[in-house]
Amino acid sequence: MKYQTLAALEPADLDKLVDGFRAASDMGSHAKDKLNDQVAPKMREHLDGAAVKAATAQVGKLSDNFHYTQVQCGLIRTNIQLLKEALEEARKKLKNALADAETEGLKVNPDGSVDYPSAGDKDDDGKRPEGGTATGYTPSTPSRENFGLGSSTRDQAAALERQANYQSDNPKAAKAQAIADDIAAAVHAATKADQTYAPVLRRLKADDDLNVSHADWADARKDTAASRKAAAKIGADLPPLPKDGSPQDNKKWWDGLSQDDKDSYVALHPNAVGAMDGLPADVRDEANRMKLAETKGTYETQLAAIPKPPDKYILTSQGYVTSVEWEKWNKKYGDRREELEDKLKGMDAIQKRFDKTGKDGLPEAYLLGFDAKGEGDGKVILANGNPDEAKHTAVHVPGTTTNIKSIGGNLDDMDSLWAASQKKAPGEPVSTVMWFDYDAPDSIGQYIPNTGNAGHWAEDGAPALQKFMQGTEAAQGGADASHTTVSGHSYGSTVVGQATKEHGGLPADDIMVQGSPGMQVKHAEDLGVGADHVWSVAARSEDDVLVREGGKMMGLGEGGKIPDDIRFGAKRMEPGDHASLLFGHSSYWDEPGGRESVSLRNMANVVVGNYGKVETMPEVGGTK
Amino acid sequence: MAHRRSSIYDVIGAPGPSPDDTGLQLASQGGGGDDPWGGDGVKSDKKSWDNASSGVSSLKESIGKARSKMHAPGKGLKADDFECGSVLGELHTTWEEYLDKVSGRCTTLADRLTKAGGDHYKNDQERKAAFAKLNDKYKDTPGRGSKGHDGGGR
Repeated sequence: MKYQTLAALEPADLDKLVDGFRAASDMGSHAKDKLNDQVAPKMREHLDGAAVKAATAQVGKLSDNFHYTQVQCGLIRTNIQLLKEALEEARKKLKNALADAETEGLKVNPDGSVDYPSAGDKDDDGKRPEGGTATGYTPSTPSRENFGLGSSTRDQAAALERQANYQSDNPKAAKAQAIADDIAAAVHAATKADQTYAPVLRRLKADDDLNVSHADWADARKDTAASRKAAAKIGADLPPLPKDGSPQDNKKWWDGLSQDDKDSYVALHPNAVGAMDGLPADVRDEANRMKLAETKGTYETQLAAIPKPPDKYILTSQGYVTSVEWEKWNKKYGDRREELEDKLKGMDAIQKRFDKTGKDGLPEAYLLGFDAKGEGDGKVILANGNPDEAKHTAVHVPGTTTNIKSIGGNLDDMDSLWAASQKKAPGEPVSTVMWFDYDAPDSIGQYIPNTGNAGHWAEDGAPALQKFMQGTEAAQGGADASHTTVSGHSYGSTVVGQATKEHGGLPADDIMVQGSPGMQVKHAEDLGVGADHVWSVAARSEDDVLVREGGKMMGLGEGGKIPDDIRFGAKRMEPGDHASLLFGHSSYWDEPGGRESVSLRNMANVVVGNYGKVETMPEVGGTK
Repeated sequence: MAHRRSSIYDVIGAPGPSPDDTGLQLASQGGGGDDPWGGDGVKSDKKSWDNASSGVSSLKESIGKARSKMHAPGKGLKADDFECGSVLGELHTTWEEYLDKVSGRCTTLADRLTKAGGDHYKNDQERKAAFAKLNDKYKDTPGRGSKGHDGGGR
């Protein structure tokens, strides 16, 4: 870039473009929300049949167009904004240098070099210091003319020349050199910004068809990465992230950002924003939905790139045998394909939940956390209803064997709890949150029999749960803003118990557990919410007994006590009769015959604070 | 633990018509089942289809408003040795085109939704086919397609 170009540029003209793409991105966001949260839910509520399913599918595809617009135009806005800031800074520097030249009466040449005249006074040796030309220099100027010339030679020559000017007897020489250097630095910075952003912006041209494909989302993820890289390359400054900040610090930090910086953070760092406890639920949701769409697009694209497996069995004279080709294929691709398919199943389950909004009153979903890998089994935090506006909030931690592949069942449980709870508190917004952000044991066998520290999954997961709860409280506006219940199923209850031991405790009004194998504390009182706010339900089925007794044996309950023991001091809720004497450990949220089970009813009454309506067991008759 | 779920939709029963749901119940057949949609029954009323149609249609106005704020890069950004200047021009053009197409998609979908509520189609299957047919209209084109496959631009 010539310095004249930089001098003539009007970076402020970029503001108009920034405004335009912001308008497009915001419009995309609102239109997408309108389709997802109003139009489609109303259709599901009032219409039924094959046609309306096909129609809502089309509404979903139109919503994808808007989501794509939101994400891409948001990224364009941020890139132009950062380009503008870089150009403005360079231009300011150039203008100052040119003004200096004018003040000093020095002539700036078309190539940015600066002429200086001979000095008026004679030197000691009677000579007049000669005039000359100072050429500005920046070591890494990506000037094409210099390619082929050894940069070290060039560097040395330029350094010598500059040194000579700065030490010249002619005072104008040093001044001219300083001005030439400033001009070169300004042009260098502007050129770098231009050359950095041109290819990134070119990537962001709109698609020429309306089918938002997996490849489009996979590309969008690459666009985000490229934009992030560009910002780093030109040293664009966004306010730094709060380092190891508490959720309260995060909230304060976010609230203090300008809207431009907020938008830039969501566009460039959706992963960080989506995972940041303490931020508003709707902001996290937007960032995580972006991440979900881009991750799904990437995984689908990768899955499609895996060649189809050859026939597994071939007929030989010995009968059917596994083919060598299949073995080869399986060795190369088998594990990867399974992994991709498993993660995609989880992502589809999340999408299914999105698509249920409105059906039988189910409120909007908020994706508060998503990662295909997470702590190993994936990460999914999804709220039914906005927790920031909820009068009653329940956060549920699922247990052993939880995995992103099977997350749909856990999401369904929280749908059930939401429906049952909301029915009991009409007019008081309820939010039920499925929190899965820890590495859950893969089987009960992992902690029975003794295989080491049975509590380590809980110890590893507890800090994240506690931070999430603190963040929820901060985003809601304090401890009194919502009546909060933390719930844990099976080993999830162990995580909940462990989290109460974290610094600051667990910000909750009630704690409720289902089929708990122990909570790492001796007594309900130790959980920090008061023993009369600790609720336990334990199915009578054999699998539930196995989990509980196994946990007790493994020491998950301190002092050998678990929540179902009377001596533990929790309020023991009536579990009701389960369909099977063998299996009931996962039936707490069941609705046999379309009616809520006794356990579901009791849990829902805890969630909305209808304590008097919770059916509890007599605290007599046991030796526990 | 393996989850075997029944859906929540059985819990609070089938939704009754909303207060503003005064339209005609065109057909009703079958029912029940575990489908989150509440089974294979057909529930169709003009007002609900019309509401959906006007919801979709209203987005054209939103697009128009956003479009009115989008301007091509001004003269102050044009220079042979300022590469971004010309790229921004291309960006502007492609996004204008894209939003125009999305607006067109709103028109088409709104039209089908209105027709679905009227007597344009004979039955649910015909209505369904009308929506399914839209998939063919919006297929991926090889043109700008995916950036990963054509060396950077699209």
